[in-house]
Amino acid sequence: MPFVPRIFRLARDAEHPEEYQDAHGLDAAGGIAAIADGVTSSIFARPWAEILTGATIADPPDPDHQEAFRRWLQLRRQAWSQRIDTGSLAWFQRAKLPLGAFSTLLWVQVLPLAEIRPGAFGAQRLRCFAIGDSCLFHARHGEVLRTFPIQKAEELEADPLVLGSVDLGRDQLLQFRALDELCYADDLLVLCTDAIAAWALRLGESGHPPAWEDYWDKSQQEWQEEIARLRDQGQMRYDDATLMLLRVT
Amino acid sequence: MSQVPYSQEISRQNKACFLFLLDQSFSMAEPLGNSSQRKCDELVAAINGWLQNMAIRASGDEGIKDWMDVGVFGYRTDQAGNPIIESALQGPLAGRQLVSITEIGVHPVRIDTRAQYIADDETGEMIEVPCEVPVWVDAVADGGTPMCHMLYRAHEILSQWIAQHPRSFPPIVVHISDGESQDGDPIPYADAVKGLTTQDGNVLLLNCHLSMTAADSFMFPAGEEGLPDELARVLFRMSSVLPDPFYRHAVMEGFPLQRGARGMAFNADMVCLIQFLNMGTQAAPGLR
Repeated sequence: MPFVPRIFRLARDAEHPEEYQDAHGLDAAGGIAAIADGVTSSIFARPWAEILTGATIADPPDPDHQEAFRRWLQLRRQAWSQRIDTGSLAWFQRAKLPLGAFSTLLWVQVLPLAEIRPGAFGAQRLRCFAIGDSCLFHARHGEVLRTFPIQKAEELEADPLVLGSVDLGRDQLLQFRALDELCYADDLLVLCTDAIAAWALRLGESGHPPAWEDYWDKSQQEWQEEIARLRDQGQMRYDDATLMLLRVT
Repeated sequence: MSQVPYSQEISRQNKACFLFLLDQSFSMAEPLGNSSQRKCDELVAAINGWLQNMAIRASGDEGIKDWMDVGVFGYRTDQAGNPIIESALQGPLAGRQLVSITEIGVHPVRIDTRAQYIADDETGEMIEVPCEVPVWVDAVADGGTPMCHMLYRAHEILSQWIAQHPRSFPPIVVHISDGESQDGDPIPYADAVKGLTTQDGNVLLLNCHLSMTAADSFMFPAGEEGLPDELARVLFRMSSVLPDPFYRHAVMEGFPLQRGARGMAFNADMVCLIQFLNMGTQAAPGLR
């Protein structure tokens, strides 16, 4: 098993968990994990985020081949459309439906190296693909080696690229960012949606990055209480919060 | 007050509040500059459009999230010159001072069907497609302009709301009129409204003047120099200085603002009115 996971989630409004629009998926034995952040202002964003992460785990897309990716995306769009009961929609939902849902998507794969490399004894291959502002922090011995695809908190102020559940004729603008690095046993791969990423990047820029290792042993409740406190203090945006910790084995 | 004013995120726990004050005087029956439509008709079309957009924006898979309270008031006088200050909402929401955006979404007075023309994807030909247009407010144009009485009432409504929502993003008041106050100097009343505060900052009072002439409109002036007349100067003094999030958002939208710009539009036409309404909402955190 390439990694061992821990997952934490908190809806934007803790009293309305049904409105949580993030999604995650993982196959620890297969070494793949995915996270998606449904755009709250779009409609049926949660099913869209769930479809994307589920399909990514079952059948990872190949962003390097545009035509194959478009076919993959089209299948997901059909799945989303089939999940909507259009007959029961109110006028305000009907108005939103033609634009569809939007979501970010980020996934990581931990793979054996195809060939041995000098100085890389025990290394595994870490691949990561991302569209949008969900983020990966790669940490080793308590230090963050890299963040991907976002490096600075200010990058999170702009609206991100997202995947749409309806073909609006803009797919040619979709561009995945790709990461291909090495990772080692005991590395911590932190996947998170943008509210957490923004908080963590700001802390890092101030010289006091979060101690990601400390979260490994936290309970769901302890973590949720911390997030609620950070929101109340204005240190973290009110938004759905999803944190995936993957301990490389 | 918050350390950084106007930064409170909008949520169910810290709802937003928007209060519209609509001039319903007789002169609102005159045409709006650059249009053959009456000012009152264009105004309610813009307000109904804003309510529609807000309801859609707040909607989710399960319904409409209760993130904001909205009031729409009209002001005019009766034939004896007595002020009429009342909610302009019709139907199931008639008479209500402030209603949640959830109720707005669920209780339009009616849903009109209008033709919309869009280009066909394959042929490029314009095809007619019916679109739903919900209505909450109908046009009224009668009597005089008791602006001071309206602002006094706004102060009462907002005082009560703030007492129940002390941590919220400050209420935003959008006042739309086409002429001068006829019941006194409105500036002290406007100052009282702007003097109300939540822990996140002062109430924002934005003023939009509608004109019958096709004169150049302008938005967000930073000083009185260059204002065309005394009415414009009065509205300027009534208007809040745009706080930083609004200033930055307006600059991002392409408005050539200077520091100290106020939330005011003068000689507005329909396009300007809609831009003004949108700017008043999109700068608030959580409503983008």
